[in-house]
Amino acid sequence: MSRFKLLTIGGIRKRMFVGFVSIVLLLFFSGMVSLFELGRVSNDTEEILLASKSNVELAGEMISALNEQNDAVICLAVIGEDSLTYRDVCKNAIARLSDAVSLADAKVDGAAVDSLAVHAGVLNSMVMDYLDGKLPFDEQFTSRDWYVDSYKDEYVDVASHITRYMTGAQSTLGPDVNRLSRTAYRAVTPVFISLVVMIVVVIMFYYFLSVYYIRPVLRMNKSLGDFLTFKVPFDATMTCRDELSELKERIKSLISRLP
Amino acid sequence: MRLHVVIRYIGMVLLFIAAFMLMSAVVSLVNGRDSAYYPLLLSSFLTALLGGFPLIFVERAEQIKIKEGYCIVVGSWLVACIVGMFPYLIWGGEFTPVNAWFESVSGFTTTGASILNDVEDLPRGLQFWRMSTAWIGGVGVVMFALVILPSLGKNKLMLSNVELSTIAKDNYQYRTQVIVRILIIVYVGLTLVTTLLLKISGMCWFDAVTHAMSACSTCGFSTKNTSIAFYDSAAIETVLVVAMTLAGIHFGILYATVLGRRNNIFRSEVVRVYVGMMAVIALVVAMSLWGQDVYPSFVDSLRRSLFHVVSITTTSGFAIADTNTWTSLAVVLLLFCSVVCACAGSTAGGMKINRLLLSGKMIRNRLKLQQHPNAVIRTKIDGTVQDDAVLDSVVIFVVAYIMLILVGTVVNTMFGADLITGFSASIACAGNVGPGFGDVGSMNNYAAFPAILKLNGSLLMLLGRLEIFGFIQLFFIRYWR
Repeated sequence: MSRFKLLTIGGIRKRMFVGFVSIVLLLFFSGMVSLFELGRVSNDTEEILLASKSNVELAGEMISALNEQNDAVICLAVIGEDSLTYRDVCKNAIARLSDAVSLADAKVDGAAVDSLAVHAGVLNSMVMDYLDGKLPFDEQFTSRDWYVDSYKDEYVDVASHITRYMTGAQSTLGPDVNRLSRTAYRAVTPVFISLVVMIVVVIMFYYFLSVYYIRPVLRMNKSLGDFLTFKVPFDATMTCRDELSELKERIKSLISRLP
Repeated sequence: MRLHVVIRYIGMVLLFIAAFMLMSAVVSLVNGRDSAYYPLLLSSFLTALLGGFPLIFVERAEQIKIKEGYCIVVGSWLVACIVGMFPYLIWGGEFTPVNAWFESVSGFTTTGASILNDVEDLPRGLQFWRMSTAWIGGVGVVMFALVILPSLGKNKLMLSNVELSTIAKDNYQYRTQVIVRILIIVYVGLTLVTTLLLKISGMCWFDAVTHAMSACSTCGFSTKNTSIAFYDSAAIETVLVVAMTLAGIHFGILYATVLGRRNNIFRSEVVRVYVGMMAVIALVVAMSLWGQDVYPSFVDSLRRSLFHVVSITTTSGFAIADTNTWTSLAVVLLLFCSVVCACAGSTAGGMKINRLLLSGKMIRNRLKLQQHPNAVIRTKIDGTVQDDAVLDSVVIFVVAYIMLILVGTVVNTMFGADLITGFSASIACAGNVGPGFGDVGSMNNYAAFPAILKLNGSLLMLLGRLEIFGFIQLFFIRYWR
């Protein structure tokens, strides 16, 4: 009996099982890592896009308020249509511009925003002074002169500061973009390496199957065929002590009992 | 040749390497789960899987043939360098595939050349992994595995015989099975003592451990961009000089010294020549530097020259000064040290001083033979007669080594390096020294080298570490009977 005792219980089955489980584990693990990293890429991308959108919206709001204010001031000071509607539009535009600049100041830290806040403040107080009638207009210095000589320059200044703010705010996203590209790289590389490792493992699996199972079976088949055809003694070299070796011993034993 | 047996034993070495990756991941975790944590963890898993997979199928072989043993050793080195890339590649940063390969090979071959512009930017886990590759490579990828892995019986003898160079087997006057244990005891012991001394000298624990690993493996990797110059500490430099000097001595001799046996460092001719050579060259370099006013005082000059001479001779590559500013005489002498290097049986690379000594004695004996044609003249080292096979192998190796350096220089200059850079880089890579001169000086790195030259450098490193023929034979294995 000991001659036929299995040297490893469930030898072939266990090896096949462990081999396939290893490949599955590898696939699963690399998939999980990739999923995790892709999730991070997704979050980072969303963060960057939201920040960018917010910057663009704020800048748009500032430009819109500035233009509205400019239109109202033209109607009041240049054309001379002094009505409550234009005054309300002007005051509303001043409030909108102030709110937008404050919001930008709270979100982004830098010289560009500080400068914008200062110039916007100067422009708004200039317009408020005009609306409150504090400006000393006479025949030599009319409201039209005030618009051309004072207001227009400040308006152009504030507009260029808003552009500078938008460019500056977008450039602060640079480090986040770099981090994003790094995260994207890290999402792809582990999967690629895992694939390469898996290919190597599968090739190894094929090789071991060939060495330990396919070739011994073919050898046994040939040897048995030679015995049946040419009465050559049955013998086949086994590479491993498992069920296949046992099968070979049993065939040998069976042949020896034949008359 | 049984390929499946070779794969099994390479797999066991990979498992050992995976353990070090896991240790590095633990360092990352302790350091607040830095950015190297997942790369190291994943790399550890992949390496363990690659290494453990063959063990499922292949049973332990009772006897390994010499051809198989040879393939296991060389294959282990190559595969270790490949899997050593994984943490770098996954982490990213400056590590392109070529850069990751170069850094991995540089670590395992204990060359210490780096492609990193900013070492301090690396997370601690990855820095520890860099040092681990050097520490494993110092005594040999296979040697560690032979100690840690379960008893391999006669196979251990076979594999250690292939891993150790012929010339390194001298002075191991023990049963070969004990050699492996000696190597590891001396190596680990030296690393522990150096760690403690560096800590006492003022380094933090992490720097002490990593620099001790780097010094005892004679690699030269540092956690600082300016290498040891960062610390500007005579105490630290002294500890490192002693550690590097000891790491450059045959470990069997160190072991015998500790046990109080006869064949100790005080009686060894090779050690006397080794230490004497370093002392004389350091003195000459110091005088040259002081004479040309490179440094204000003789003491400053001697401090720097001694450190650099020891660092280069032991193929460590640590630096405390920019040797590009040194005199031509100093540069030539340092190049000489880069070629000759330290003792066989140590962690150092290069030609080995044993071969230089033997070559010198052979020249002397040749002259005597011309004077006395009928005389019988034996070549001895440490009282041991060297047979003709050993002498032939020394001559062949010296010639092959010089050819290797020349070919390496031609390739480097062909692809854009200037002469001093190309020549010194070729010597530095083939001798596993690390820093050269010019663009790859002691305060520079290999980052600016084009990819083709980095691949050339890594090939030279492997050829040097595997003592040239070890690597070349791999391509002719089919013809080996």
